[in-house]
Amino acid sequence: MDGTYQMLHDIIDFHNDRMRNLRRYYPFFCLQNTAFHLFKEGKYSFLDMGYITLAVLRFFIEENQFNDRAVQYPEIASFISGVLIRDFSLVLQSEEEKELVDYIFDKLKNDGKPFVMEYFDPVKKAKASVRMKLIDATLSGNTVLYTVTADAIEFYLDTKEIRDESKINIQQILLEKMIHTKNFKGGIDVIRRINSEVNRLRLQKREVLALLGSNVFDGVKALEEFNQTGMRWFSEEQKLFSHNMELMERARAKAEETAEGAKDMESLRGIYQLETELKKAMANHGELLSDCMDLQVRADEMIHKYKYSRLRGAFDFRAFVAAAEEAQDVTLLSHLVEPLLFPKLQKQFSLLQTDELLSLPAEAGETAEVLGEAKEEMYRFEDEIEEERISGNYGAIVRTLFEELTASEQVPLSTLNRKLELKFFDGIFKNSDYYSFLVHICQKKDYDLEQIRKKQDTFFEGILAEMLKEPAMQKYAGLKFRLIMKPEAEELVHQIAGLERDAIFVTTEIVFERLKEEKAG
Amino acid sequence: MEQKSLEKATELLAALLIGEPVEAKGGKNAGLYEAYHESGEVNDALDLMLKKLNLRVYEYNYALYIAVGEKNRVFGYSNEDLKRMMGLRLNKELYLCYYLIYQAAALFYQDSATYNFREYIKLEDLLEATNHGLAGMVSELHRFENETPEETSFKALAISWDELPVIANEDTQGVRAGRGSRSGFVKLVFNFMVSQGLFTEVGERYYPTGRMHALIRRYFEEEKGRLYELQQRSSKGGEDGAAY
Repeated sequence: MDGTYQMLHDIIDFHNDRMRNLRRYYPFFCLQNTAFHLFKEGKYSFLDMGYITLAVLRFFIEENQFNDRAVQYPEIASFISGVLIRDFSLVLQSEEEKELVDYIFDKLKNDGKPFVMEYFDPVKKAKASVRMKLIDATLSGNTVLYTVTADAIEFYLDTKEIRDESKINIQQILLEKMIHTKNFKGGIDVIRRINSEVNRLRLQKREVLALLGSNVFDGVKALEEFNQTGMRWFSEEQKLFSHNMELMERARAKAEETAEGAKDMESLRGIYQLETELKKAMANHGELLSDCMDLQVRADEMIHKYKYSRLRGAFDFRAFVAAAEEAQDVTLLSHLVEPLLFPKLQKQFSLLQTDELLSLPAEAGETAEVLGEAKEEMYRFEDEIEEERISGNYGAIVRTLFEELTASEQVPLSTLNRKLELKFFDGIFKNSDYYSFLVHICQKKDYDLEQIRKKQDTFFEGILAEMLKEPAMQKYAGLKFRLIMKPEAEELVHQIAGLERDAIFVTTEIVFERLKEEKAG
Repeated sequence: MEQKSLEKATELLAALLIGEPVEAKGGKNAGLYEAYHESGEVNDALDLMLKKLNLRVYEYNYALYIAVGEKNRVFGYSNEDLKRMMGLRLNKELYLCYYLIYQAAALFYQDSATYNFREYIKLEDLLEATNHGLAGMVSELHRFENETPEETSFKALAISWDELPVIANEDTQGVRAGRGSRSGFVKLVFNFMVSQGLFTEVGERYYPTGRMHALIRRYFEEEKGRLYELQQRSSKGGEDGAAY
């Protein structure tokens, strides 16, 4: 029951406070969103009003706070046009530029009106509003002087600077002030805030540790940030804690001395309460300190372990994935996953594909076959191929014959057969071209290659003439020979394995005789 | 080589291929395990066949396990195959599953030689590990909102993860596998890994199997040279596309 009550109290009673804090951010987002859409039909909507706002605020802080002087419009205008030129490369005609700068500055000061944020107030159950101005103006003589508002400074610092400082420190200083002004109740609130900050830091520490466990590089980065924002304030915080404790003790001693009446008793009770809370907070803070020491030790261990594992000969999964992350290529992960799977055995047909079949759109009409550009080809007839083959085979046999004839004057067919068998194995005798060769060559008794070159009587001579054109055959150019049939001689019979009996190769002996050139001449 | 040895080796290959356990401690294939161990001929014959088929066999804790070699056109899977098996539709979902499988393995093994002495993992463990693994990239996404990243980039992976709710429907009891939530995806991946013999489930706790240990220790140990080269190439990839 208590918990629910506390929660409702937090929701309802503190809502106004929260909205008041939120109001600081409101103008920024208003400006960021709407500033340039309506101006000159959105011609300058590429300009970033958020950036310009922050730049102008920083300019104001520089002039108002650091140089301690108010700013006049011409200075602001020249600063804004400087931003436009430097950061947005926007160079305009002087008149148009003036118009734009005026517009920007009007927007920033919201035409002099505060930015109003409306919200629902749950306490009064009615609409409420909070207001906020970025820039204030005062009149001095005839000139208007501009200054930045305190809220705007707070907003600006909140975007970065405060984050780097220790919130605990700020709260401590506040606490000191509260003790001085004897606002002990407010002090308890401050301590509560300190405690919540301590808890936040402890949570952050746990996150850093988890990150270190999964990715050392990210973890180290987070650790550095944690050290920057959290841990570096420790000694100062400790000092302030003890200082506040001292103050408390003094306040208590003084109160105890002079305590009279109910009012004093109440403030004494306040002091006691505050003291207890402060003690608790100090204990909490001490624990956080030891936690952080522990974090440092464990982080060192993890980094050491990581370094060590990188030096070992094992395959490092994390390093592999880190490299893939760096290359922004998730497909590399498949190299880690696919080896773990069973061999693919089932060849499946996906049911999803039936969907595709059904949803495949039918074509509206028939499309004509597209004919590519055709190339004319040389067509070779069957008999041409045959002829080519025959002349190739004849060439081989004739070359052998001519070789033999140049070596010896008389070459019997039996010798030629042996030579052919040596060259082409006995398969030559199964070749019908061999027989047709014999038939063709026997058509004439005398051959004079010189004459054949000029005039061919038979088909065979035609082939010979073609052959003689080859450079390798030039050496036979003057060859003459004749054929002597020897019917009385024994028949040549070739027993060829695998052939049927009646297919035995039988020829009568022929003697090729080389004729001497002078005789021919 | 004796016909008998060849026969045994073929029998062994068949048993491994269809996913039957081949262990020394028992089962119908204990004899085959023994033959592989005792007979050099069986061993050689199996090795030869595996090599020609681009398959590997690994021994771990008195059992044999088969794995598919790199770019195996017959026994390997295409993206389409895997999507079909897991019931996914998009490639980026498949990549997310790859990442989850990697995280599951990394919970047990930081590298191929360091076992984390963890007995089992639960669904939440993998969910948390993935959250942590992608935390850096997700926070970067919140800081810089850039143009749409490529489908195969880790940024796209981080976006997919970041945009998923932790659970799809708070009313239903327990987590169901599905593509609509982080826990659904984790469950889906666990189911797949169980079907692939990498984990066994006992009451929502997932224990790694001998097959998982064998493959991680042996396969990656053996292939580390090639993978390291790939890793080097990918880190230099942006500059020239090839390291060597």
